[in-house]
Amino acid sequence: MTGEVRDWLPVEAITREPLRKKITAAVEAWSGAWFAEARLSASRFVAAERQTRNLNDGADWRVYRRAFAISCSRRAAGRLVDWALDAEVDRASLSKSDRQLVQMFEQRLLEDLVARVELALGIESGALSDPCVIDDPLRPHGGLIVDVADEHGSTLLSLSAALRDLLPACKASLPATMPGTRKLQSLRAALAPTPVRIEAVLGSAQVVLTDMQSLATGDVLILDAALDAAAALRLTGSVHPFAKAQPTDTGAAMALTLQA
Amino acid sequence: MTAPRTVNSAAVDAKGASEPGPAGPPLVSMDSAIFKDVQVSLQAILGETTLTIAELLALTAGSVVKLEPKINDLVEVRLNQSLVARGEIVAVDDNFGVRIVEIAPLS
Repeated sequence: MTGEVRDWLPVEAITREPLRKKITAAVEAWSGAWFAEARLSASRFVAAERQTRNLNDGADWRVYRRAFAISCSRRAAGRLVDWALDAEVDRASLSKSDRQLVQMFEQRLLEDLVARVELALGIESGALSDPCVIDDPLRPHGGLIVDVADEHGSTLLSLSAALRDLLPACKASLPATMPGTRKLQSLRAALAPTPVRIEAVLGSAQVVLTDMQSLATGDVLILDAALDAAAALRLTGSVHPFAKAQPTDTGAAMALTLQA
Repeated sequence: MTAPRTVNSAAVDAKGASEPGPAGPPLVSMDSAIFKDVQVSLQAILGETTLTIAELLALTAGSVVKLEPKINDLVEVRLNQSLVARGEIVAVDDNFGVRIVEIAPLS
């Protein structure tokens, strides 16, 4: 047993159609913005408890912004840069500084994909100054993996985010009322048939304990209630009266008429 | 010289009752003089009834609430919600009073 409290949704919720549509649209917009020829798309959505697959030639998971991490092999990253620059960069003879520029460009390319996906899902984030490598982006409670493939179905990279980062977007995409769900009843209506005990208090008397112990039949306790005073109605066990009432003759049983 | 005995507060439960101590006569009895100034409040209860919350919320000035019938007209006298006596209503000058007709034994 644990004292940890966290938002919860069935893990399948993160592959629901509304979320997939948003991610698909963001990936396509990214593809259209960067690549003239290639058409990349979100090809597969998997809800997983943990990251076990050896994705993309064992490429690391890199976090560029807040939620989504990317796994993209060197070879696939090279292809993306080639497509974006419409050149064969790997075959070109580049200086060290040029290679650094290409690397920064590659980083910007991938970071923009994450930015577009996170924006589409309403995840507020900013670019990290230094992308970091993590072992399992699905920690601690599982999450979503999205493969991005070219038009031939060849996976180039994978996006991944933990369930906890996706929950707000998941919940926002849920319909207001689930089909078939019974309407909730008000608490007041649900409480209405609850029985409560009511007692009518005529008055009270303060007695010291020694007098109390010597109390005998025939003794008279003088109450603090005047003859014209009303009785107090209260819930049994409570010391707070909720109404005053005068005894009324109804025949068999005693009754009380409530006062304003 | 012997060390003073102390009371272990953890031995007192939520109701204030202490755990049984070592064998020996109690230090305090009910007729002890320490109780002579202790004041208690006795409540005279005309009667009781059960209402639902819906009925309770519907009560207004002028509503009549019937109390459960009793085999006699005695009021109950309660001490800390416990019934300790019964009596009949009387007038004492300008106040109500209760003449005791039945009282619980001391123990």
